[in-house]
Amino acid sequence: MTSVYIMQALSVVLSPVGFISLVISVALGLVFGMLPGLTATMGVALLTGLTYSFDGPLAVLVLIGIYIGAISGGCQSAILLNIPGTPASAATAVDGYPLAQQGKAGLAIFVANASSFSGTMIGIICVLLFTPIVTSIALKFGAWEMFLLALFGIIICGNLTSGGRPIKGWLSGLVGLLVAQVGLDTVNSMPRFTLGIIDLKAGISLLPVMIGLFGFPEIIDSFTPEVRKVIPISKFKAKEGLSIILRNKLNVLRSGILGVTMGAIPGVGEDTGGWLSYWSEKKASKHPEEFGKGCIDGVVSAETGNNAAIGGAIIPVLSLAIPGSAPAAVLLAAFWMHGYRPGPLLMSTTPEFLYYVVVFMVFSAVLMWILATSMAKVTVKILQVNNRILMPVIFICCVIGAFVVNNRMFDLYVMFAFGILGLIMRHMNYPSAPFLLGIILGNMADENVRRALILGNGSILPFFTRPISLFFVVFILFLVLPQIPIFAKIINVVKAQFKRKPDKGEVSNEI
Amino acid sequence: MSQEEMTDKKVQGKEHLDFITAIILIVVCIAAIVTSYGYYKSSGNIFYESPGFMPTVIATAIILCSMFMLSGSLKGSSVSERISQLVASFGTALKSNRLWNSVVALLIFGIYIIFLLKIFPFWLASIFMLCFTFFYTNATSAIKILLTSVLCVAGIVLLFQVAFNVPLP
Repeated sequence: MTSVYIMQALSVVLSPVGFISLVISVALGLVFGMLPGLTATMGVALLTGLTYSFDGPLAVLVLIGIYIGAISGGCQSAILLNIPGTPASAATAVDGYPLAQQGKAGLAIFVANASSFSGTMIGIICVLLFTPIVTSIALKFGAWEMFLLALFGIIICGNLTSGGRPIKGWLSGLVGLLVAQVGLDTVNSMPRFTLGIIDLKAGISLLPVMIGLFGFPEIIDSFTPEVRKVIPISKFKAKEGLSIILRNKLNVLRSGILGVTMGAIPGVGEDTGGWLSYWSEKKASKHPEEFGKGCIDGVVSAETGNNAAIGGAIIPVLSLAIPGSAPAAVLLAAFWMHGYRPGPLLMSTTPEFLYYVVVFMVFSAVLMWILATSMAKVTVKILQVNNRILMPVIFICCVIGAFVVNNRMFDLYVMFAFGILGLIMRHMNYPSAPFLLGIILGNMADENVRRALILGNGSILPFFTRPISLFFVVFILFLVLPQIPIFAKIINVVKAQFKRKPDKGEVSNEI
Repeated sequence: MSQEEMTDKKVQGKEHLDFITAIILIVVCIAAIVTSYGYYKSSGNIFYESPGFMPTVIATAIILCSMFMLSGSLKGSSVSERISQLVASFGTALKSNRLWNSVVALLIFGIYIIFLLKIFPFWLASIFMLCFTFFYTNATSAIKILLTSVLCVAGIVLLFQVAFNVPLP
């Protein structure tokens, strides 16, 4: 059956409409990724609106194309402007920009594109290998595990996206969970926190919230003018670029695996994938002092890591219906809009969907590499576009994107309200990703915790006696306890107690 | 500079914002718990089966986290000191160009969404909004502003409504 599914997917991609749509969406994704302020999340959200009337498979093809294009496109502005086009490319700028200053912008862009391609391919292999496995494990999850999975997702996302202050990440996620409680409750259909507004009974739509949270702050920021100085692009030196990639085989593999792992963690996503891969390469390098001064290995690791995270982020989307990153969350909403139901039952109800996604990703990755490399000298001119003209136009597209899902003006007000919230959160250093994850997982958490308690006659004991559930409890405590001052002190005391005193032999060796 | 030092530096000077956020969150969550208790009573179910259960649990968790943040923001300082810091930072913010630009942007977009789209057809409301925004940000010359606005809106309507049959507001 697998070959039939692959053939069906190929027939979508290789049809004239499919192929042209893919080329346009990947090119558009590259532009979105390239322009500072336009993120992959915004790109996928806007295209979700535009693909509203498309057939399901064609819409999925277009959305995957723009997702892969946008994550990869961010490297060009990171290298030429020292401003990452998307947060995912932030780590690329650390070494990419110094390389551009040394007159090696072309080489850096070529290597970045090749690394992006390698990372995406590693991600795709992982999607194909791990989605069926995770799906089969997820089938064993009961209400207890599903609730703890939601909680675990929010806590780990809060930990990893809060820039060293997990409490802010957790608060963001918890407020998201609370916001998700608005509307009819999932068990008794009783309206909660609707303030008498009929539109709120259906709950808060995901797409307007996402556009508001992630798009609005960027658009508002464009009102404050900034000066951009683009470094001219130099020769590509393809032969040298390919030899650099070959020399970095191990780096690519390690960064790819790290990227996939980071992508698979709910809500964490591509930027953490890029940073962690960069950090690991710096640690493993024989010349760590060269990093930050124009080390090409840093560009390879960052770009491989952030692109591998795309595959990683898609694994939980397909197998658990939990997004691994913000753009993957929009992708999940788009899948729902087009009638697909990812989750534990995916492999038994719509097994072809996995192969569709994999084939679409492969074609998008190949096209991304070709387009990004061949058009770099032309697309680089896009970086000179005046943001003060572009952003208000993008705002109109955001309005359409928020409106199109339910065709109601109320969603525009929701987008506006969450846009203001996103602006405040950014100013106060609260990460938006846990908030979004809270909104996505809120109903799942509510439904499952109540079902679990009903099944256990109000007892919380099954949370500690079921093996998978216990695993999640231990993991959650492991993440939370060190952040609470009293427990942190106890942990430090215990650590000090267990610290082995060096014996005489070791001391003499050290001397 | 290490990651930890950078975080510490970022946090310094924003404790007053943490202080006020924690207080606001605690107040909102107390209100949420009271409302949830009402849902529990009116549903007539056992507490853990009622619609008020989950909001109560989440609001309690938020209160706990907020209290940790509140105590952290008061480390080496007092409530009155934080309040005076808050008032001072409000004064500084009022003088910031960035804040005023953001307020004007919010006003323009708010008027567009709440009023213009209700009164005028989508294309006309959008042209008005674009023209006003371009004029405010001094994006280009007056004629170019008019032309760009009309062409952009025409392009959007053509692409979304005509080519892809997407319903517009």
